Amino acid sequence: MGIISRVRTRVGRRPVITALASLPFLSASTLGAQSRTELTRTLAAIASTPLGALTPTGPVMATSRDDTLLFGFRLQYGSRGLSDSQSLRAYGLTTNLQIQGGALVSGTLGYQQGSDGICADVSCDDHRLMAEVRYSNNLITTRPFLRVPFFTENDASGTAALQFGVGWAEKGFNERQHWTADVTVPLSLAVGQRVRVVPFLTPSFAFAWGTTDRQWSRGQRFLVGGGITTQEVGKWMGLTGLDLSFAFQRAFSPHGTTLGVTVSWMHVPLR
Amino acid sequence: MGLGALGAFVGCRTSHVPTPNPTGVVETIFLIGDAGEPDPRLPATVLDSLAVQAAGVGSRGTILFLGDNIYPSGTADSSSVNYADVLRRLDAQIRTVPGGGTGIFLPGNHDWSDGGQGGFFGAATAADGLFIIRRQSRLIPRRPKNAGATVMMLPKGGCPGPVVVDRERVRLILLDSQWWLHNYIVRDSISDDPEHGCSTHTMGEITQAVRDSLKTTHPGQSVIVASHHPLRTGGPHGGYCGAFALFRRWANTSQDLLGKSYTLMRDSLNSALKTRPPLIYAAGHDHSLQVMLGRTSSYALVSGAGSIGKGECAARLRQSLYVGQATSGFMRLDFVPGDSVLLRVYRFDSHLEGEVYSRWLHDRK
Repeated sequence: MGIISRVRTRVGRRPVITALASLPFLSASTLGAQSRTELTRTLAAIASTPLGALTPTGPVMATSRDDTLLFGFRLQYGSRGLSDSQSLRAYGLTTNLQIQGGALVSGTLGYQQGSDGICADVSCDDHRLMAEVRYSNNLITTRPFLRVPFFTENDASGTAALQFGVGWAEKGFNERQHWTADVTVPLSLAVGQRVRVVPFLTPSFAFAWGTTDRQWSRGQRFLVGGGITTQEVGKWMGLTGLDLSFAFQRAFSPHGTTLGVTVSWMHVPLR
Repeated sequence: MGLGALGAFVGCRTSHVPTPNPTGVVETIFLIGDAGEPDPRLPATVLDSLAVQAAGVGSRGTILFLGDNIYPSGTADSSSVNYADVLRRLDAQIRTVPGGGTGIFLPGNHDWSDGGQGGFFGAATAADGLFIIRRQSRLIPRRPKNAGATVMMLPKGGCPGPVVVDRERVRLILLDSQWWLHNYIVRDSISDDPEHGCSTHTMGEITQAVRDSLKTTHPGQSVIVASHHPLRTGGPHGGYCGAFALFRRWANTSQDLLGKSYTLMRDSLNSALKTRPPLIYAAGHDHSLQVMLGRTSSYALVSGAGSIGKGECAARLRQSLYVGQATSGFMRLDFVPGDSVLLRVYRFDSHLEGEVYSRWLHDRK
């Protein structure tokens, strides 16, 4: 499914910002050494950045508009099964900034590790660092429209949001350094009073780039993520702003699924 | 059993706390907003229920009508073809005030002749707003009412307030928030009349008067500050719900929380309130029932669901304790000796009828 175009360019070790700016104009050549993860090339790139190594989270929970700027944190874990009982495990720490109760800007720093035996030789790194910047904004909140059993107070209301993400992963598993850029449209339903229960789907379209010192390769792919978020679970402990998500991220290839869990907390100033 | 227990666990079912003995209640305040569109084709459940409950508490009860008392454009002239309808809308509310009880009508944007939206969406400039609100202010006390009932508009005469109403256990600080937002004349020679005019004339005077009102609260009194416009809300006026919510944030409409005039009002009032935060900031404007934790008050209540058929969406915010959306209803506050206040929320729609939420409110120091 991945499409690899082939154009040679000369790219040295440039600053990150230069690489980001030039991403849309760069394309491709073949990858270098054989990946130890045995994923297809585009999927390997996606699976190495937080977009595919970790799992999506539910929609941003609104806060009052007079919350000019809120900050919060997110801890994420994701696991992707490979052949021969191998796996890739990823851990992410995200800082969230929520602007005027709505838009969310997130920065993620992550670490991905392969299971024992994923590397057969000393030249193969069995771990890598990764990072991501993501912007998310809620587009539509519908009227309550769907009656849900047991949630008798209000009908479920729906939301649609728009996300843009750029991710990076350093070399590892005999793979190149990778970049991804994605557009995601999270769709969700929300029910519940004290705790909001939010099943969600996150269809994405992602571009992935891999690079050695001299060559770029590019591919693109549809992804579908989803899961369920329980928001404000912390209210049981008197800790406003604590959410818990279980989710998956799926690319339609062998070993294309990541499963993950996320705990997030947003500091909500209360008098 | 399993799913039911889960439902109760996540709080999706109604939540109630023990209620006080009625004889122990010192004061009762009812909050109902945006009640100016009682549709004669629909059952008058909200106002009927309010009337029954208010009759039960008699002279220790006060009904606060939180603005938008007459849709869509306030009090028409008596020669107007729709004057009879204006009276019908107003009388339906006045009738809920029992003998010995008090009904206080706050002005809303629709009472100011639909207020003048301003900004991107705003064609209306409501040049006659000040005149129209004065007409409602004069009309309310003259309408037929239950024997011994007292009804009035406060602040009256297009004045911004604050007006302080003292009860044994509660101090009400009442504001005309549309004065801040109106897109046309809000002050004239009548406002400036030293004898019959307004006590405040500028934004600075208003906020200083609010500070003074908060500071001079008597021991044992809880404070409710009330206006038509909320300082926080998860409804459409807060920039949530609907396909245009995203754009309303930048449309600079005076009636939305992020509009320039509204932001100025919010900042000014928040700055005044934080000097001594009241127990409750009560408002209407969004047609939903919302109980929230406040920033410059212990609690922020939005009770703008007084008209059946006008119910709207409201997003559940991090600060929300209860959200009733697409519904109609009102809130009730029972003040008992000490510093405790029992809040009860009543809603009436196809899902639920009657009390749906209750909570003891305390000053969150």
